Amino acid sequence: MGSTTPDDGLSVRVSPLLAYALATLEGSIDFGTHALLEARLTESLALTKAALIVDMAEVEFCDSSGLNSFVRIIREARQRGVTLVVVGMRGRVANVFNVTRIAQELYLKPDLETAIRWLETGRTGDAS
Amino acid sequence: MKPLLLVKGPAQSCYSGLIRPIVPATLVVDENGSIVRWSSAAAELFALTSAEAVGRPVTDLVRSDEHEKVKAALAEVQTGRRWRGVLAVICCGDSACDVDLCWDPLSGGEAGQVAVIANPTTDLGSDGVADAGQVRMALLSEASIRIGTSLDIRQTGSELMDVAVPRLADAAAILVKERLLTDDEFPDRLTDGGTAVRWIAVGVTRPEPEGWKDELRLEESVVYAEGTPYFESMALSRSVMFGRPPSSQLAVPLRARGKVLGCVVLMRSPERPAFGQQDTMLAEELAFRTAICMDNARLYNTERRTALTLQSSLLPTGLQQPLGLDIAHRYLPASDLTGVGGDWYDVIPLPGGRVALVVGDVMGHGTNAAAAMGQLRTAVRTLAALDLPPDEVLDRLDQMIQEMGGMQNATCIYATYDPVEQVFAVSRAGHIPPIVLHTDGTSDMLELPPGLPLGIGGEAFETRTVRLSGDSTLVLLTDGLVESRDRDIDAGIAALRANLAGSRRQLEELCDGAINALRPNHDRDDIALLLARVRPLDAESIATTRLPTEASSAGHARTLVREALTRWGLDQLLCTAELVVSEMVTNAVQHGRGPIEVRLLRASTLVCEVADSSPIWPSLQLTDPVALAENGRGVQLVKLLSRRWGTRPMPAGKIVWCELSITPPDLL
Repeated sequence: MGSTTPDDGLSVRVSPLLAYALATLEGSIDFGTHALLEARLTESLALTKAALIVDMAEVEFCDSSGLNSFVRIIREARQRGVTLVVVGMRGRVANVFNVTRIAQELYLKPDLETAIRWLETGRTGDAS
Repeated sequence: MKPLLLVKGPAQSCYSGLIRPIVPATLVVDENGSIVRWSSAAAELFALTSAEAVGRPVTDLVRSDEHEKVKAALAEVQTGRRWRGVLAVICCGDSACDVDLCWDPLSGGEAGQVAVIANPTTDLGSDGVADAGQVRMALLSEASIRIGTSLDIRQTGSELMDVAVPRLADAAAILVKERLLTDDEFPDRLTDGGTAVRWIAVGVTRPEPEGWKDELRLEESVVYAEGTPYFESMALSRSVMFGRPPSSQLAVPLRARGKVLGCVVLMRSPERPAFGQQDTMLAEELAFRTAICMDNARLYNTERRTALTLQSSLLPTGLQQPLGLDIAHRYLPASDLTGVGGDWYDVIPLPGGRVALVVGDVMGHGTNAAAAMGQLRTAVRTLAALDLPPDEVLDRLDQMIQEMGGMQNATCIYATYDPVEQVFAVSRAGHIPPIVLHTDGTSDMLELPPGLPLGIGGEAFETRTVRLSGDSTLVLLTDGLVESRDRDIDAGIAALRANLAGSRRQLEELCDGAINALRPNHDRDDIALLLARVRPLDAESIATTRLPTEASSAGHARTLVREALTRWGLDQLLCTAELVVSEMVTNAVQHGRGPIEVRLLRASTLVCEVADSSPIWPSLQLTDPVALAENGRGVQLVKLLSRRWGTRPMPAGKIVWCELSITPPDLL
């Protein structure tokens, strides 16, 4: 067992995007990585006054440690008046958010493009 | 007129006026029909001394118009068959009376000799009234001895046939209500003669009298319509005379405790006088005795059926073969009348592919013991579901019996088995210790503090663990197998161990061998026997790892899960298994003490276990899933996603476990 396999780790890339902050996650969120996630997302919240977009398309795994972190981030975001948008969540990660009903507390969008359109226009569809 | 019961000489003063059973008179004739032997009863019956009778042709004994029948009888017997019938016998000089004669080939005597047994019948001729009464009383007296020797309805019926034919009738048969035979119950409409009935016994003289019912078939269910004498007799509960003269028939109801069980049908051939009032009364009396015996049999059957049903509903059926053990079991009811006792055994699946084995013995017998056994068995199952250590299970049972009051004490042995470790944990409460049968054919008694029987209290039970190698066998039993009136328990156990010793045999064979050798007879207590042979698990179906209490351990545990499930072809469980193991390891890292052991077991379910050295159990407190609580979500996910989950204490620390169903699709 010793070595850490790639998907047991987590990388968080934070970048500005328009008036928003974008955090792109990759890997697994568990007890070993949730502290990193929480720290980086809290930093990201400081980068924007409008919205933090979290891209979870490349997240393979998330357990209750990650969920707990998200709960804390959601609270922090609400306190700051920042909209938290999660994009690209899929598969079993989406299932965990659904069965624990945390998904109801988030703005979930299928992808980055839809998220930005929704943030800009309040609509998600292509219709003018 | 001289009396028929020819009590002559000194005997007359002794027996005069007394009623006694009729002693059948016996005589022997040779192949030509000459009398060769003459008993004292024959001397009385026929009023001839031995000297007068021997050498005379047997035809001299009967009226001249019956000579042809005697010849027919002799001819019949010479072919090796019995002849039985009523003949008019000349007794007491010149008067004739009907006597039942039974002709049999004499075995062991000279070739061709015939034994004749003569019994006076009830219809004694016109001038035999007083004596007829005596004969009737004698017949009733005999009936009270011969009818009702068993608690079996059919046996009772055929006993009535033996008494009534041919002395009262030439042919007789018994109809009994079908429901009585099948369910020991009365049909709902008691007076409805249209209910199904069954002929259960028939008695008839040879040759069969003409006009005797051809349709009478034994053990066939029939329904007689209104208007038939059988219907009338049963529906109106009274005797009905019928039959076309000169033959005479009589249907007499079988009444007991205010209910009609069926009826007796009697018939006389034309040669005999038709049934009279006296005959009817006699038939009713016989029927009454028979009916009481049949009703007793019914009540007994009901009682016995109730007790057996109770017991069989309490004993296990369809036990599951546990993981890593081969099981064989026997239960033999006690040989006393009810066959109901308080022994029981059980095999209870526990979490983590483990199993509990139980054998117990409630003191006493009968329905009480069976009922107490049922309660205890249920209690043991409930406690087993809590996954308590064996001594604690016994301790709680002990308390339960004390608190319930009025419940019989019991002895019990409770063992759990972990198929991965191959370890039994055993505790006993006054029960016979288990025998361990080793692979080399030798055996040991498992060293175990004896403990007091359940319900006594005052002494703590102890659990001992024993690791058994593959193919060795744990034998649990009740004392019925080894203890009896003529053998004490130590001798019995020694005999059992000797019986179990020797080369390896199949478990079923061991069970049968032990029971046949130790308790072959019918005089026994009830017996429960449970054999469990260790079948080591395929190393391939277990995956374990040991992890430090570090944040990264959850990720390492998931790697183990992925590798194992891929190897086992359980990809469909991957997502769920990774999540629940991750949660359990996280819990151990956060709240437990290291090191952490992760164990995966591929059994009928996928068993995931995480052990750590802290005795503190994870919080079962459920957070409101809607509220944004920050903790308690891990346990909630495990509960939500697994088939069942739980914790159990270990000597050092605890195990949190969960099981995932292998068949249904993955939840995540």
